[in-house]
Amino acid sequence: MSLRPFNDLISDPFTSSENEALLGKIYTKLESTFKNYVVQEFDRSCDAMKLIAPVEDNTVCQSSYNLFRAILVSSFEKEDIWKASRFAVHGAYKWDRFLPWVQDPNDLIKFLTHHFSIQAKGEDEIASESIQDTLRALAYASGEVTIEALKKFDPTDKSFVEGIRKAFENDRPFQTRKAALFLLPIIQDRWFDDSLKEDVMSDDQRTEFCKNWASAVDGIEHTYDVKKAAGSTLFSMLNSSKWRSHIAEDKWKLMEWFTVLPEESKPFHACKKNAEILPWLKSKAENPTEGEGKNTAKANQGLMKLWLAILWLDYVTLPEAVSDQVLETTKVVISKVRHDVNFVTVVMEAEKERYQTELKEYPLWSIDEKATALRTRVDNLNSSMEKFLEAVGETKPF
Amino acid sequence: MDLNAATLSKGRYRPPGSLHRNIPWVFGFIVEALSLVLQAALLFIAYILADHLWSQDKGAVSMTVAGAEILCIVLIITTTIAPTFFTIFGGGLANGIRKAVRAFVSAKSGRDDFKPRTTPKRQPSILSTPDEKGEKVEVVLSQDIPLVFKKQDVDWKGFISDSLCIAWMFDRTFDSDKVTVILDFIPDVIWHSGICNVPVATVFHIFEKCFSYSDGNAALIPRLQDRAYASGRALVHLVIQRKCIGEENGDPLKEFRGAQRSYSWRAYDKDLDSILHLVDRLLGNNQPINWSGYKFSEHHQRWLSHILLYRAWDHLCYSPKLPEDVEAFVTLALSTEDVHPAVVTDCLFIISLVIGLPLHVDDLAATDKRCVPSTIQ
Repeated sequence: MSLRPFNDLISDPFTSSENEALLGKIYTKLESTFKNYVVQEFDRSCDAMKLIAPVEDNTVCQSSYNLFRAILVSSFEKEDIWKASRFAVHGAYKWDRFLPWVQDPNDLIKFLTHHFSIQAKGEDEIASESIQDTLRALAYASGEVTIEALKKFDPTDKSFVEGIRKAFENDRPFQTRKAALFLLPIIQDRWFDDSLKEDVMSDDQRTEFCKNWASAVDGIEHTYDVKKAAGSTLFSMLNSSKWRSHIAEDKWKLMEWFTVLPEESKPFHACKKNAEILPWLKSKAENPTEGEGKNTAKANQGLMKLWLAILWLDYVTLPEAVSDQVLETTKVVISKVRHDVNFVTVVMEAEKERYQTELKEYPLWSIDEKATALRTRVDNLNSSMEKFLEAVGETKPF
Repeated sequence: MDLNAATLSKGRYRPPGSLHRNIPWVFGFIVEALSLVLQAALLFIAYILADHLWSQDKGAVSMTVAGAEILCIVLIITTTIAPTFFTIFGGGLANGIRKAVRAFVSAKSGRDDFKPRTTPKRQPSILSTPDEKGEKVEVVLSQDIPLVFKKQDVDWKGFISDSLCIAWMFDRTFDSDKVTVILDFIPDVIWHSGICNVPVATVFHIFEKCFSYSDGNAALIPRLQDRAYASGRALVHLVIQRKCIGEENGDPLKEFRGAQRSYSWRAYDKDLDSILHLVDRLLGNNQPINWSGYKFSEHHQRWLSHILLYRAWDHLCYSPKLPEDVEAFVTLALSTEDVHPAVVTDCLFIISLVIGLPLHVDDLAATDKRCVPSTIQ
């Protein structure tokens, strides 16, 4: 038997299996305390949970989540349950590195709603961290099943709306605002639904909310995921006649992010089929609202042209009412500035190229669902381009 | 020479019984052989003398010399050759003789310093009663609760030698460099109940002399910074561990309390500052320790987490809550990235103690064993 050199010995990290086993012991004991309703162990269990919560480790996060679920169904007093579950949720969702999949969002929503309500009562210090952790859980760790379950939940409840609204405020921590930004696409179907009998917010609150949302978007690096989440929310707002007018002026340009939205993006498709949007943007471009300068009017014109180009991408699939608007508006725009034809053509060419690049990942004879959809998109785009050139009196693209 | 590494390799990170492998036994054998050669030479001279007397017709004298020679041979065989033989080929008799000698010495002095520790005289604990002391206990982390401890035979001789060596060196060494080396060695020793032999008062006086005093505050004498660190660390280590594993559960620093002076009022060096804060706390000045203000060296942090595990164990024996300083340390250590896994393990042990998972922390072998790779048995 040969001994390893001492230096090797001292730098030898302790086996993670030992820590894993230790963690296993600790969490088994904690769970048994709550499952078996051991009242005299409660304080010490909370102390231990508080100490262990900062550990960034997959086992800790997953075990904390399981513990959270055990705590919620335990027989302790309500306040004790909330106190213990705060530590458990923090242990599970304190940071982005390890996020256990949410198995049942109802537990977390119940927890979140309670903390929104105590925040509204002025106990922000207690609730703030828990709210951030829960938003992070729902926004980042929701699988498809969870998202479906979340859709069944009514996010228009007053205290919930108030809580989310507050989460976007400028004085909230960056991580809270970021998580709320990512949660919004999951709940926006109900929030920005014009058919709701009762408005989720007053007009003033909408304006303020849109301003805070815009500031949250500005305060974060525009990664692919951020563009996807923010773009989706923007089109949801645009699709709603109640929200459209509250969108911050400088955030209209986020429409440029339409390329990152998935094909199945509901708000984007809904906007394209919505016959109210193009006339609204047209009027905005022609009649800038009071207080807006010439630049804003010019920006609005650019916006309207971008939307026009987006609509031309799907011209052949648009409802008749919208396609008629597109044709009519295009003629008006082209008659004023002829080289806008080039702008629309460039957008269409760029999209076509994108589809073709994506299509190259599949064999030419692929019958894959995505490949088939991409081929259809390219065909539709070709037809749309022909229609566009015909409408503007060109025979071939510039 | 990397002294620290050497001391650690002989102490804390040493597999049981390795000290004997480290001793140059060949040299010892030669030294023992020299005495045998000398005795053989004396026997030979005695034989020549007896033969000469016989040839001179002095039979009675010659017989007396021959009888004395035979007696000497029997004595040499029983006292030297047989133990040497058993040391090499078995050791049973040699150990038996040593134990007999030790029992005799203990009976004479009324002390039994290194016997396995009996149940400590503590107040009823919220934790389960620790296992018997003085035996190496391996924590077997199975999935069952409570933790199961697997006892193993431990050769304590190496550890006893270490602690005896420290006490002995303190008695005879006055050279300041050597004293610093001894102080540095103290936290690396695997302690047992023999820790009571190390004079805490001496260590405290060495520590005290590293400061000048004015207006009730202690100011570090700059050239003695290393010594202050070594003596402070040794002092904290001894006091905390003595409370945990010593025979007496009282306050080893009782006589020094009440001096109303602060050592940590001024900042010097991150590692040293943390020591000074701990010394202040042990002396009764309960200033809150701001761990987040420190950036420790890895070696220091590992020592700190280890000694705080002991502090936690001791404190939880009479209080349901962790001391603030330990709690803050655990929180900070577990929130920090790139912390050494050994520190994490110590913190997890502390958390285990909080929820009452039985843990044999007063036997360092239980935790230090973790450092021994599986290749070393």
